[in-house]
Amino acid sequence: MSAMVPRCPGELELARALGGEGDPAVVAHIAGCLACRGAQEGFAQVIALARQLPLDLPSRSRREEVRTAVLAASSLSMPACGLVRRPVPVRGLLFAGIAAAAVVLLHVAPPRSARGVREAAPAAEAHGTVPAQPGARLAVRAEPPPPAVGEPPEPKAAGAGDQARPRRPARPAISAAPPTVEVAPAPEVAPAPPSPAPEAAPSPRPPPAPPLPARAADELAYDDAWAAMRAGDFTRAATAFSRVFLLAPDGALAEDASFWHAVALARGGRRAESITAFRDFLAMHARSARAGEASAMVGWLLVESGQRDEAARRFQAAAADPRPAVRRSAREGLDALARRTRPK
Amino acid sequence: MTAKLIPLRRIDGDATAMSDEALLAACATGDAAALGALFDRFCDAVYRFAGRLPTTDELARDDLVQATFLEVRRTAHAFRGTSSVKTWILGIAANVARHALRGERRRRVHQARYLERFAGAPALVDAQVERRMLMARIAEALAALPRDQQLAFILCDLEQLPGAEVARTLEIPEGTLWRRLHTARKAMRAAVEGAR
Repeated sequence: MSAMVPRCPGELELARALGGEGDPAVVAHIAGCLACRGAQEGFAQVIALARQLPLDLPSRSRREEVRTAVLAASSLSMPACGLVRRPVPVRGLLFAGIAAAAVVLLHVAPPRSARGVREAAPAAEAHGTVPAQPGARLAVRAEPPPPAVGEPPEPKAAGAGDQARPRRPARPAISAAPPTVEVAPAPEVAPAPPSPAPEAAPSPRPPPAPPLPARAADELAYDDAWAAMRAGDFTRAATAFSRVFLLAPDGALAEDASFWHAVALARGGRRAESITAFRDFLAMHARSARAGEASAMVGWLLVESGQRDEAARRFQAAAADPRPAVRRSAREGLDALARRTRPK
Repeated sequence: MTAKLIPLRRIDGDATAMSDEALLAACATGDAAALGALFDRFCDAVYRFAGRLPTTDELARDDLVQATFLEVRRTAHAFRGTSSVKTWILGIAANVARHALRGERRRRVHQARYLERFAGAPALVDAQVERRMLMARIAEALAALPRDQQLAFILCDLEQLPGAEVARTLEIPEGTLWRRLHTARKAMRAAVEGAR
């Protein structure tokens, strides 16, 4: 049992005790002292009231926007994310396997500055495993995109809201291969000892790898978005498409990304956000070749959400589209609206 | 020797299973997915912290959250594990807020907006209005606290982070933190008692 402090404790002890970090003797004193207990209870009451102050937390979509902006800004200031990883010290090679099969495992050590973090968090070692030679440089493979072969297949806008979504969003012109790293070979040197003292015996540094032609961050994001679309991960796809036009609002991919962002949202079942995204697309790219198609799609989404006036306007805009499928979808949309408004 | 192409491993699927410290370590190596996972895990806490600051409006709050996570990315390598990741991130948010809202004029404008939320209570005295007025006094008292005391009160009493960790994160002696906290509590209590 802790001894009780005979005198009333000072402000610091009181404050600490209220924070739950007080000395046991002080806590015991407070429990037995009417004046101290009264003071603490008064403070506790104020704190409880202050915790009830209203908090306006942002909507999910707003959070998503901020998240996207953080990741986009982060990738701009962070070459490792987008294009080229900095050289990392490599611990060594482990050869395993029997007979013909040889599996090379190598653990990528963190930058020296992060060593303390690794000690606190060994789970991080699970990340970034790359077979390579000691001292190898890592870089994301920077392949130019395959040449576009004609126009990619257009998504079909058909009669129902669901059908108005693109049936085949795949774009063969865009490579959606998973990100790869290219390991440039290190000069032939003996493997480093298991745990050398780096300061005592610095290993010869390999010559820097020649710079690879880098793809723009928005292109990488665009590829990532399409990979996500194909995988059916529409949340990630929507985020990646929005990242494209955040990274390069005037870039060549911005218009496409804006359109497919809205489509991804619709495919992900986020109707309200999709409607907003389509509206933004149509406002920003009114002369786009996809304007009619977007109008028909948003028209059906608006029908589903009960906004018939705007739906009718969008269908009327889509009815002038040069593509028969879009015109047919717009006509069916107008018919559907007429049927719903006709008195029984 | 020819170059070899090896897929870059991503943490996408496993992020939820990773510890906060592991995510931060991955973030320190430049992993954007880890930063995204950290954002998902802690953005509510940072938003809540920012929302409790009386001097932030909606846009400033978004800015603060964004700046905080960019700073997390930039300084992830400096995390030493002396506090929880949440305390560390909220400490960054506190520092960002301290720098971002230094201008007194701007502070006053935001403060006025914050207090508008509670303005307009009718003179009728019933339980609801009385409570509304009490909350207004508390909000006013919190807004009137000096910034250092505000941060101490929000981080320790509202976010309920350990004082020792908060002191380390804010780079102040522990005694200074408790003193600030005590002064803040006294001011808040005086506001409540004045309302009764």
